[in-house]
Amino acid sequence: MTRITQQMLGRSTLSNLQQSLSRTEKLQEQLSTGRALNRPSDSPTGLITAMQTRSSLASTRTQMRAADNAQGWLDSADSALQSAASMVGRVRDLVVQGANASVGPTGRENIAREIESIRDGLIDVANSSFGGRPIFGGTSDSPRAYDATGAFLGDGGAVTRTVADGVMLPVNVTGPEAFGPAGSSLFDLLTTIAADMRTDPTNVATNNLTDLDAGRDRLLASLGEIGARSNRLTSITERATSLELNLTQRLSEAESVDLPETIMELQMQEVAYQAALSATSRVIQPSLLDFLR
Amino acid sequence: MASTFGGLSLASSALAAQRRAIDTIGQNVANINTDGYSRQRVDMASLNGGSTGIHTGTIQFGSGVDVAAQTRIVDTFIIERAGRERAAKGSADTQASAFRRIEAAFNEPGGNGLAAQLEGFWSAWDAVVDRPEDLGGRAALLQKASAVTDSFRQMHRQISVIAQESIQQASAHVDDINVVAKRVAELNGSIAASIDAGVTPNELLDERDRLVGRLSERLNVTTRTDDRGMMNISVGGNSLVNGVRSSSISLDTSTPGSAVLRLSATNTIVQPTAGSIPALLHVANTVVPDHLARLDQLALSLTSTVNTQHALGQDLAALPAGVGAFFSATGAADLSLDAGIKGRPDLVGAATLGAGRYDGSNAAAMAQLSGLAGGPDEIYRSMVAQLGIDAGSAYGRAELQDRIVAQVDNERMAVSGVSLDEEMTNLVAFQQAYQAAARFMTAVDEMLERLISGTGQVGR
Repeated sequence: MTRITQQMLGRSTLSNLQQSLSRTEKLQEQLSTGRALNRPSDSPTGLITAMQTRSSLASTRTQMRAADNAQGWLDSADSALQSAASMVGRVRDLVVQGANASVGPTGRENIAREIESIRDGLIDVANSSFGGRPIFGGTSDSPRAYDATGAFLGDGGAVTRTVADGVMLPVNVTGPEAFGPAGSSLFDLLTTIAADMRTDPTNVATNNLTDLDAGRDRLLASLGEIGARSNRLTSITERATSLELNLTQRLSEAESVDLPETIMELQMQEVAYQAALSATSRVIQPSLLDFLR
Repeated sequence: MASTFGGLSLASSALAAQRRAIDTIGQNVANINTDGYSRQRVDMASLNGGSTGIHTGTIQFGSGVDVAAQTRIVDTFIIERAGRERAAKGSADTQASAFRRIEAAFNEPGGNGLAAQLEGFWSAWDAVVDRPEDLGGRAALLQKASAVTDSFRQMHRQISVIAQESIQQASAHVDDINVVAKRVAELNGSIAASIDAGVTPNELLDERDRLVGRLSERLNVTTRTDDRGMMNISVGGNSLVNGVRSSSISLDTSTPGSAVLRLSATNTIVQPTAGSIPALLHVANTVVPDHLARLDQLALSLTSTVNTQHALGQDLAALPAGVGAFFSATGAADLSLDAGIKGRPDLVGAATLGAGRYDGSNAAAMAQLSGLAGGPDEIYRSMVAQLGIDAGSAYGRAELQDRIVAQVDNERMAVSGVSLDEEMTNLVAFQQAYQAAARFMTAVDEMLERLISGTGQVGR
């Protein structure tokens, strides 16, 4: 039979109490930090999940921010192209009106002036900017896409935003794409129309109207392209929002404590600790000394 | 009866023996909480009084009791096992504490570790994509990049320090060992002298066991006790204590990264396999350099990944020659922004070479590198996971070894520890024996009194 000595009792009691306290300490750390994963060794596999989720979450948030920015570009382009299209519509009305023989030279002069002012307005629209960047200027550093004469100052570079993993969405159309190539751009056309209106009214009704319609079709095509991208972006954003929610949940599952469970464990631990204490007070006290006279 | 006064000497031997036993109980009780004390017991033997005498014929009478020995109750096998397990505990504890510090240096998972810094760095590239023309965004990117390099350097420093401190600690332990070895050799001399004189030096033996226990925690030793009671101690096949002579050990740190123990006298390399000293050397020679090497590898991977992508870029001035490096590093300790780009946000290659000045496509491609398979982020994640596994198993070993040592200690105490109940029971027994012996002496005294003063008084 193993002899049991007072010192053995003392030591084992102490080490049991110590173990109980150290479990309590662990639970308290989890509760007070709110995290079940406090260092890599707490759960190496959970750690990988947590870190991966964290990194996906960060990139999803970055992409959502990029999507906001992309939406801004697309919206600006959309409204610019809409007003450009309505301006061109107005010009078409004026051209049809001016082609009418009943309009005298004075009337055509007025129409020519209005067309010239619409041309200036169209250049302003083509110089619309978003966040300080001319939206039809491509990737150039020019502060404006077109100068006052209607010459293109930008470049053909695509402005893209990474709105989802591997999805680089172009958010701009360049000036030439929307307003026509240099030399036969809408601005040049309007200058020609205004000039023809004054000098060669017959040409206005035939050739210029065809060119104008082609220019308007080009505008509408760009508008459609922007609209399609905008739709695509909306669905991507919706997906990203639900992904973010999902990832947040997964991260919390991987890292955070299950409050009710941890609190219950802590209480069980407290009970165990108290039981150990009361057992200790009973076991350690008496020895034969208490009973010898 | 051997002699007329034989009863008196018998009684006195009984009184002396019981007193000795009671004193031993006192000694046991006094040392109940003394670390390493082994309980003692008085071995008594009855004395043969001889058989010749006029009135006795051939019948033998005993002539009292003798204290044959005062023995220390120990189990040398348990003591040896305790030494081995202590050495293993020394190793396990040391490694566990090193890993605790390495884990603290990594500071993962959470918002303050390198992973978060890297995320901030990649997402700063994305902010540059939105506004390549904005110098503020580019400056913020450089700042995030500096935060990443700072994290690397800080981690490198914190981990390197662990190696330096391990060496200092090992050196202190070596000094301690030399002192202890010397003390053991001195004790060997005193113990041999006592044994030669026929006395068992229980307290000295206890102290020597305690010292050997202390040695064992530092490095695993093998002991052999010779017939004169001297204990010879050797470490990894090299004699540390031989009789009354002890050798000293020194820590040779002349080759960084491979510190070794040497016998001072012969310069022989000593290689203990367990204990805190070899564990500290292992931490300094292997564990820390391994982690630093992984950190270096990560820093180089980050540098080459970022620089390769950056080389495809063009800065705000759109120079046809392209841009310089982004990071420069030969390891984690000197990872920094390249000198050319430091403080020059306009030199960040956000645009693709040949594109418009306000192009951001190279920055977009850079931001995508955060998810690169086999890229820096992935290397870092697996590095931290590996650390978690290593640290977890080191803690597990330490906890297990703790329990084993507690178990062996318990076994030692079961044999050698003082039990109050037992001592009290014995105390009652010896006290009563003492009282009875005193009564016997009184009886003999009364008998002699009667004989001496009553003889010849008949009829008065």
